[in-house]
Amino acid sequence: MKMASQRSTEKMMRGVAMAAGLLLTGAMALASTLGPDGERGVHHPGRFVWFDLATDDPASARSFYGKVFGWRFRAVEGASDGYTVIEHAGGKVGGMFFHPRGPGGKNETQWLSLMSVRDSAQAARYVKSKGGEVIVAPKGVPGRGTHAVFRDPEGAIFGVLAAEGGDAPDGPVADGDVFWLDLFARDPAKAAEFYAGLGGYEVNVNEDLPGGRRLTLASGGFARAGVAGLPEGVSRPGWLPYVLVDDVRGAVDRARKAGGRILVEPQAGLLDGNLAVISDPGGGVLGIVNWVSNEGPSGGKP
Amino acid sequence: MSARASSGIRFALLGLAMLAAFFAKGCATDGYYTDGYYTGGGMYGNAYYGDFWYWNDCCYRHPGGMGPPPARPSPPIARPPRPMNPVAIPPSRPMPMPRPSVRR
Repeated sequence: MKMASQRSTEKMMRGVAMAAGLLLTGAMALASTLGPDGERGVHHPGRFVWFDLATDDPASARSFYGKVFGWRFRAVEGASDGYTVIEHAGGKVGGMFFHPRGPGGKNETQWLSLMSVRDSAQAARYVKSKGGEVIVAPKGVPGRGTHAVFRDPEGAIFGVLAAEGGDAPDGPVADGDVFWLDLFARDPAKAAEFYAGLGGYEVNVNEDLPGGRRLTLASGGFARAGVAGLPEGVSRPGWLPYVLVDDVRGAVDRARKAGGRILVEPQAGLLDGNLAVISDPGGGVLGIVNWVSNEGPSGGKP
Repeated sequence: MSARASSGIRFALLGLAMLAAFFAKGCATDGYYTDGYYTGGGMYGNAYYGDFWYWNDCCYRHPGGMGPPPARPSPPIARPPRPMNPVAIPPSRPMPMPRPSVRR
């Protein structure tokens, strides 16, 4: 009787050990999927390193972005809200998660752009001290790092990420990856000053570009983003990421066929027809841009 | 079942619960519905979003200056000839450009 009891106990212990092992394995799998493939300990502050789409229709979004950019999607086992990692050409672009419509059925679909920082808590303190708002307090996610979401002093929504695995190398950008961002602000100079204090940017003013005076934010020797005035008719500031493509008109056609909307058509006055703004069927807005580097045939670093 | 075995099971279950709690922390599984209303959770919590482009329900004229600055021309632009008595010009640093693009 006693031996039978011992066998039962051993069997149960083995079961418990197996369950713990499976749990550990699951957690480790999760740990390798929710952030950039980076160089451990290496960060590029000021660079936008991750892009998450909050959408109430992930299935439509997957179909749309797969057709337009060739992105692939990998559901993360055990992650909440159906969190899905967006992959392209072996690398990661960001993620996508279910976000329900707001009260009254208001569409809350949005791309969130996450800037690399070394310390998300310090970033939150900075944002608050400058009159911004912390929407999502710094939150550690295993395998991703610590992220937070803010409104800047004008109300533009953006995030920060201190990636625990480090940021990906600051190399050339390939088609299908996010290449550029624009911040549309009421007071571009003041907004640039705010972000310079957060991302360590050097703010450059270029008077000679098409479209007039332009502010750019640079860090690590690279221009990372532009700051422009609000488009006519838009009352709320915001960030717009741009995906690199080799053919803007082709991408616009694919977006239209896939059920998207073209918000800004390619035209001569905008980077010689190499720029457009599209919306996915759910309302997520992205810029697309064809930007050919002249730094060398392989696009080597300047 | 012996008291020793029972104690062992309790200890193992406690350990399992602690392990589960450890890994569940930060895994962002706190989103839930109450009476049909989403009350929070997920990767970012229940923050309000909504793309700024749609704030006034689309469509408007784009600002002239948007997108990355044009790539530098490969052949340098011809510079005007130097004046005979050159005026001192402060050294100018090149404007940083975006990371280069590469075609796969």
